[in-house]
Formats: sequence, structure tokens, C-alpha cells
Amino acid sequence: MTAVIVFYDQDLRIVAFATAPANLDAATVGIRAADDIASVRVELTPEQERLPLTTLLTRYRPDLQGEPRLVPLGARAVTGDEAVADEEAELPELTPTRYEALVLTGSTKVALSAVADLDLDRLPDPGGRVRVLISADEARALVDRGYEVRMMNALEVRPLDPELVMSDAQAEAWLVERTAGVRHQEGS
Amino acid sequence: MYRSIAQLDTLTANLAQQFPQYFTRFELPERTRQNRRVFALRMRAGAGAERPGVLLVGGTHARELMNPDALVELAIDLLTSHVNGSTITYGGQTWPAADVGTILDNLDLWLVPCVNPDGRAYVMSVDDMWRKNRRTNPGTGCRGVDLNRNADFVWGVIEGQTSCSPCSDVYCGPSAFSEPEGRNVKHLLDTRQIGVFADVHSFSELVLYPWGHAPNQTTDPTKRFTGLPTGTCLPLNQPGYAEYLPPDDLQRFRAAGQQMVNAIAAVRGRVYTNQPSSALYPTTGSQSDYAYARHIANPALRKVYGWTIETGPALADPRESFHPTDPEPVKRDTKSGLVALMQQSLTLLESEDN
Repeated sequence: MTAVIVFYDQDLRIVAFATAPANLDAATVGIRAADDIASVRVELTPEQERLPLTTLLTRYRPDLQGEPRLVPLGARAVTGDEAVADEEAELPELTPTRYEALVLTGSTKVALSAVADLDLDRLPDPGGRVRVLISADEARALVDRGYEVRMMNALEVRPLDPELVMSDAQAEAWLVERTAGVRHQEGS
Repeated sequence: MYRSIAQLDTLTANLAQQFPQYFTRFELPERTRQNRRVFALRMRAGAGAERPGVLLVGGTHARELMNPDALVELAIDLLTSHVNGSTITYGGQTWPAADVGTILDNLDLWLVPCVNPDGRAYVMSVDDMWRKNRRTNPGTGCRGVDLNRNADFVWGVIEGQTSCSPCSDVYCGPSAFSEPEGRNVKHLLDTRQIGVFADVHSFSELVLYPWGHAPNQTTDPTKRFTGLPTGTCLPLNQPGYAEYLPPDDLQRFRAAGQQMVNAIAAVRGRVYTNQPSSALYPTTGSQSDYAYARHIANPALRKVYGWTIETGPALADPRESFHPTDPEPVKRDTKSGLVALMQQSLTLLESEDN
């Protein structure tokens, strides 16, 4: 064990944790979390590995609280070598809730230009502000880096409203109507 | 409302079958990551040899749903105008049949309504805010490559909104043109006499010209992207670097872009901003920069004027920005701007031929 993935709720209470091989990060552990649960990967030194997990988390991540429960990896537990060698390896896709957020310079005055280094899904903003679509993990990472994050909207993962998709009949009728005055030239 | 991939494919097939004098549909050489076929539609009036081409692509980013529909609807607007001798009217902007005739008689219009059909299907079935294609990234639980970071232009330099992380929504991919969807666009640039390219996206009401990776300058031609490292997964790390853009080309980009802005504003008053791509935020690997950069990287290639157009305003709800409940007003703006681009192309391409 070289790392542990910790799942926590919006009040920073730990709800679960799972062990993770070195090459897998929180996004690739095959455990699906509820929309209001975030996760963080906690890397362990050899000394830390010897500690009980509850002691470890209390001591090294005091911002996270509570009595965590251990859950197994939901997908295959692979070693680092196996994951690299298997080119077709596909872990269950995780689709976290996204949040539309504004990123502002926090009290530490970290330059906003550094947000670009965080590989975020940035949305255009009419006022030139840094507006992003992020997961709870990414929000936390921004806060940890000293930014202020203002959550604007929660965007649950869902398909396009079916009401906005044409039916086949509607699509066909549209074309017929639009080309009604145009002579067809089939076979010309 | 929005068309599904199947409906877009059926529509282009119907146009080619019912109006072969105007439309030819081509299947592009590469299927998508999920094995979907991708089609290009060529539109022209009259027969004869290949003409200078204008290539318009939509749907590069999956959630930007309006533009594939706008492109096919534009084709039909041009058709009905030319056949009937009627005026195209988009709000306060009109395009007389004579103007349409000049466009269709002198250019080949190439449309790829949806570059990324896998992504569009995913938006409609699972996640309406999905952006990338649907590539499996081995060893991760994250799918997709940002097709507008995957082109071979300063690829893999994480300047601004470009990432080497597979889990990022702006992931540039494992290599330049690693993705079949992008290679399909490249195929058209390679094999057809394309001289103008526009990649239609949403949102922000912008008409964007090169460059995307750095600010422009017109005085130092030694500052060329051909001298920049690629594939580093690092920022450019050249403080103050500005990319050379020949002054004549800059003037042409600005002038043609302004005509697009004017044509859009005339529809219902929406004022788009004509600016370099980097002024939005820096990016690398974009399709439009690649299109324009080709002839610089390889002088044997034809010059292609490349634009990115960001259609529609920023609204309070990102969903309404990317795929509004009523897309019709934005589509009219878009179509008007694209007709203006086609009209400007007549001059742009004539100047290149001379």
C-alpha cells in the first residue's frame, strides 16, 4: 500500500477510504462516489504505511474528520506493472458532479495566471474572470493552492433534455418543408 | 431543437441524393473512436474542375450542439436561394440570390457538420456537458481527447488552456493528430483546394483569428512557431514571446473578420468581437491555427486562412450557453456570419491565386 483514497462529504467528514496502488489516482480508483462526495489521494511514506489508517488520517489530514470505514477497490486491484502493460486496460469511468465556479485570488495572492497550470475546463467569461467547470476535488485543490473559489452552479451529470432532441419524424418533416419549393433533381 | 447524429447523417445523404447537382457527400477516411462514420458534404453550383474551397466544420466540442445543425441548415438556405432565385433573410441581414450565386458558382463549399459524432451522441445520451471525443485513455478512468488541442500546431505545449493530463477536459492527446476525428479534418486540408477554414464553436460571440498560443506581432519574422519545442508538456516558458503574423495577412484577417461581425450584428444586433485567439485564453493544437500554420511549416502547401468562431452569448446557465433551449436566434447569427465569410473568401482566395 502506498496511498489511500479518502472520500469525504461537504462537511469534510470522512465517509470511506480505500487503498490504491501507486500509479492510480483518485480519478481512476474503481469506486463510484455519490454526487456530493469528494475524494483526495493521500500519499504515504514508508513510515506512514506502518500506522493504522485511522491514526494516519487523524494525524496527517486533521481537516478531514470522523471514523472512516474501509472499502475495497471496486474494480480490479492491479499493480503498477500490470496497469502499464495492459494497453487495453479500461477502468470504470467516473463522472463526478461538476460545479461552475469563479476562481479568485485568495488571501495568499496567488497569481490567477497559475490557474492555467491546473488543466481545468475553463469557460469564457464576459468580464474576463476565471470561470471554470470543476469537480469537488479540483475545487479543493484550488483552495489548497491559495485561491478563493466561488461555487456558482452545481451541474449534475445528465443527458441532454430529450425534449431538445428532434424526433426522426420532426427531422424529416423539417427537411420536406424547407425544400418543398425546390425541385428535386434525383437522377439528374 | 437538435438533430441526432443519425439525423444529421440522413439529412446529408438526402441532400446528396435529391440534389446531386449541388451536393456530393463523401465519407471521410477514418471512423471515429467508437467506429462511427464521418461525412463531408461538398456544395457547389455547376460542374467543372475543383475550385478554391471553403471548409466549415462544426461539433468539434461535443456539448456545442448548435453548430452542426446550423451548418446543414445553411446549406439548405443556400440551395433554396440559388434554385428559386430568392433572397436569404436572417433577421435584418439579407443575402440576395445574386450574392449566393456568386458564392456557389465560384467556390467549393465543404461542410463537415459534425467532426465529433461520438461526443455528440454521448451528450445526448449520458452527459450534456461532455466536451472531448470518446477515446479510451489506457490505465485511467478518464476518456477523451480535446480535438481542438490535438492538431499539429505547437502540440503538447501546455500554454494556457491545454493539458497533457488524460483526465483534463483540455487534454491534447498522446501525440499530435492521435485522433481519427482530427485526422479527417486534416485529410480535407491535404487533399482538397481549401483556402479558407472555419471551426465553429460555442460560446462567447467571438470571431477569432491566429494566433492562439501567443500574442501577435508583425515586425519580427524570426519569431516563428517552427522554432518552438513541441510535445514538452511544459508551458512555452518564453516570457514576452509574440508570434509573427505577416501584416498583410493580419489586415486580411481583421477585414474579413469585421465583415463577419457586421453580418452577424445586422441580424438582431448581437455584436461579436473580432480578435486574436490568444486574447480569449492561450491554447495550442487548435484546428484553425493548424490550418493557417501549414503553409508556414511547409511552403509547398496552400495557404489556408483559418478562423475559430464562438457562437452565442455567455448566459447564467452554462447549459444554456452551450445548447440553449431555443437555438434559432444564435443559428441565424451564425449562418449570416458564415455567408459573409464565404463572400470574403472570394476576395481572399483570388488574392492568393494572383
